[in-house]
Amino acid sequence: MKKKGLKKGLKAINKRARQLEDNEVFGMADEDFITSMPIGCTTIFDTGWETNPRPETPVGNCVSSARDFTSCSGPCWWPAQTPDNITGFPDFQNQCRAIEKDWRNLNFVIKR
Amino acid sequence: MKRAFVVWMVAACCILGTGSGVFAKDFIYVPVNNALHVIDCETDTVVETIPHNDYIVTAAFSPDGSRYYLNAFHSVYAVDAKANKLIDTYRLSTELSKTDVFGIAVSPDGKQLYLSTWIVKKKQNVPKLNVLPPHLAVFDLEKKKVVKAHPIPSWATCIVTLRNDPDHVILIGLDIHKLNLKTGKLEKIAGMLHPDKGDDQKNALAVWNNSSPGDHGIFVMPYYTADSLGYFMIDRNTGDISVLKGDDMWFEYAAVLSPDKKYIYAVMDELIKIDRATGKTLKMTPIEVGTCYTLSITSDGRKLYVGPGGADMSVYDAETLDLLTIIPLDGDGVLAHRISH
Repeated sequence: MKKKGLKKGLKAINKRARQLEDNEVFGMADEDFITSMPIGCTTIFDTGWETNPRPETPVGNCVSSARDFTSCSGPCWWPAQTPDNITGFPDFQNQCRAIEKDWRNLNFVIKR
Repeated sequence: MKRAFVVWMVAACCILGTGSGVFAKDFIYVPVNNALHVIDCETDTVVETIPHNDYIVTAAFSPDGSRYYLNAFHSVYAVDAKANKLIDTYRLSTELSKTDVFGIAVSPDGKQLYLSTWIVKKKQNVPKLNVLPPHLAVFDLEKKKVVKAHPIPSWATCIVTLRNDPDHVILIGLDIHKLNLKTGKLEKIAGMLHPDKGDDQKNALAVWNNSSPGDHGIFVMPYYTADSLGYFMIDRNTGDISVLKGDDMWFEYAAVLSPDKKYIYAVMDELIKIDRATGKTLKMTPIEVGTCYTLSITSDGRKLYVGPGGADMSVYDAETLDLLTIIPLDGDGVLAHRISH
């Protein structure tokens, strides 16, 4: 039986790998949300949202980027720029309550 | 006769005062990192700071404005909004069941919380995770536990309750659905990512619900198509849904409708005033401190509180969009609500 969510051509060759094919592990695989879910905060991954093309001041989003840090680390996660506040780095706000003045305290790449 | 007149006047003042909220004062409740600030709209100062230790994703008030519920990822904090005190904390994750809460609303009778949750379960000593589909969990505030849960579409993070229909909620995510809370039946009522044939795909950030207790009850959310900006509106009194196409294409995170229902105010990098009847831009001003996530409006419609985003709240004249003052906050935040009492 073909398992959804597995790459074509890949086949489990031992017991441990076969366990990983279990639907209980990949419980989301049969749901359409896993395939339709855009990563990010908008309903459609539309770059026009985040790269504001306006020709006049203020040019670009967001101004300054630090002003958009808080939500981007939470429900609207931009992984390259911000700590993962949901799972990997909860409580980052204890180091950094206000990013514009506390950014030097933020160590989310290497926890200290 | 004179005495009877005085008694009549006092009684009339009491009835008018309590009935129409004449004597109510406006406050802006602003969750920031590790605290909840309360701003007095008369003095434009922070008058209360309620400490907690969390990052607040969203928040919701009870319909009478007496409670304010802060939605952290794994907990909900209950605040007595009259005494301005943290009165309870509901922990939703356990060692074996991790529950992420991405959205919150309060039932029309104020007795239940509706939580948009993602649940991951693990078995003791077994290296397996069971990732459940997203659920709308119904949390009973008296029993302090989840009493019902319905599967919902993914990213249905914005939950809009209906004043005339306590058996349904509207869920805004990749598309817009109506959920029957008794049966769990879902009905798609508008397409965003999956529009009806011939309709445009819409892009929206379904995070902010800028309602206030006792307001006109109209929820407003900006959306984009490939070439235009519009406003999606839900009348929470009737359940009616409407759309207004904007004349100009601004970039807007969140919006609020004025108490007289004539103007839509919206924010992101600018503060924008839109004519609700025509969609025309009436005024625009760049926000001096930079990007802000959301805004609140006073009950008389005269002042706008723009923020947070960074650790500040900018106060603007709603008529002229002149900046009146900037209120410093202790930390960054994502949302705010106006509550009057």
